[in-house]
Amino acid sequence: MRLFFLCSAVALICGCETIKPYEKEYLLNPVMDDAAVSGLTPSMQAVKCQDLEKVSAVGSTGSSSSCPTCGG
Amino acid sequence: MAAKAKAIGVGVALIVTGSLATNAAYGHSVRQKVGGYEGNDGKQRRQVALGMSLDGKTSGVLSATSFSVDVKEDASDQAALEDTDARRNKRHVLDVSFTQTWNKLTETSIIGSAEVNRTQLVDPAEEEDAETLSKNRTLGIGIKRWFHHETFRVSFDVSRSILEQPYQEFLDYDSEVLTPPVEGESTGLTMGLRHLASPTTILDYTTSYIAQDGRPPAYGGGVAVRQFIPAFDGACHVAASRVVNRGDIGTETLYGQVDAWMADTAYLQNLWSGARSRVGYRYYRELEVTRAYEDLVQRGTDAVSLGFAQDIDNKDIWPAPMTIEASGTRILTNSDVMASTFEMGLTTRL
Repeated sequence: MRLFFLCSAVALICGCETIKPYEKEYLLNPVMDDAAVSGLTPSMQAVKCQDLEKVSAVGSTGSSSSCPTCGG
Repeated sequence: MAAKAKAIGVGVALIVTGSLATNAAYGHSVRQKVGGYEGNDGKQRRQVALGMSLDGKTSGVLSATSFSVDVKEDASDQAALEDTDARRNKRHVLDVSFTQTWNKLTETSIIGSAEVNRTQLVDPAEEEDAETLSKNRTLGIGIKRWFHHETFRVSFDVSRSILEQPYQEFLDYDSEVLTPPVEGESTGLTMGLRHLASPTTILDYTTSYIAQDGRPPAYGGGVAVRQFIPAFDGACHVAASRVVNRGDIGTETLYGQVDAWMADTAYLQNLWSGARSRVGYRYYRELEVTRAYEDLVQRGTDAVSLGFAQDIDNKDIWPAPMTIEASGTRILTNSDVMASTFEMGLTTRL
C-alpha cells in the first residue's frame, strides 16, 4: 500500500501535463480500450490458474477488476 | 403499509430517473461464450456463458447507465489420482451489474454474484459422501472519478463475499485436523489510479486489501503500462503485481502463508478493418510456508496466450453489428502440470 501511494504521488507530480481531447485518439484505440482488451484475454486462463494458484485472483492489475473478493 | 411504502418508493425512483434523463438513447447487446480446458492433471472443464446488457445514454445529470446480466454453467470432471477420488462438478453462476455515469466524469457501480457448486464423487465409499453443495454470494460497490481535465481517474471498489460449504475434515502432515469454516466471509477493498501520461501511454496503479475468515489478511499491489505504438498501429501491455498473505495460520485453512509475484506482458495489434489480435505471456511465482512444519514450497506457472477478435458491421452478412472473439492458452507449471484452454465468443449489438 505504501508503494501504491508513492507511485500515485509521483504520477500526480509528473502528471501536470493534461491530455487534450483531440490528443486522445490513440488512447481510445481498440488495442488500448478496456472492453476490447478483455475480449482478447482468455477468461478460461484465469479459471484454470485459480485451480493451480493460491492467490492469483488478488491484486490483479487492470481497470476491469471491480470485485476484490471474487477476482472479477 | 409495506406495499404502500414500496409503491411510493418505485414512484419516486421513476420520477427521479425521468427528470434526470432527457433525450435518452438506449441499446442492448447479447453475448455468448463457450470454452473449456483440459490438462494432464486429469481435470477437464466445459463452460457455457450467456449475457445481456442494456445501455442508455442521456443528456441529463445521469449521462449513461448500463445494466448487465451474465449466466454461466460450468461442468468439470476430475479423473482419479493417487490422492484424489474421481469426481464431477457442476457450477452455476449469476452475475449482475448496474453502472451509472454522472456528468460524464463519475461512475458508480453495484455488482452482485451468486454461485452454486455441486460436487459428486463418482465412486463414493458411503452414500452420504456422494454429493456436496457449496454456495457463494458476493455484493460489491464501486466509484470511479476523473480529475484534472480527465487525466487522472481514481477508483474505489469494496466487496463482500459469503461462502457456505459443508463441514469437512482434512488431515495435515502433522496429524492436525483442518476444518475450513462452514460459513466463511471475506471483505475486500481495491483502490486504483489511472493516469493518462501521454497521448499514447496509460499507467494503472492498484492496491488491494482482503480480510477473510480463517486466514490472515492479504495485501496486493500492482503497476500496469499500456503503450500505443503509432508506427505499428499496435500496443504493448506490461503489468506486474505482488500479493502477500502472511500471518498466523490456524486449522481453519488448507494452506499456509503465501506470497506471490505475477507479471504479464502482451502485444496487441490492429490487423485489417475491425480485426485485432493479442499474444501474451504470464509469469506467476508463489512461495508457501506450510502450517505443519513450515516447509517452503515454491510453485510457478507459465502461460502463453493468443487472442483474436473481428468486428462485423455489414448488413449483408448479419443485420446487426457483432464481434467474434476467440482465444486460447497453454499453461505449464513447475510440477509438470500442463493444460490447454480454448474459448469462443459472439457479441451482437441490437
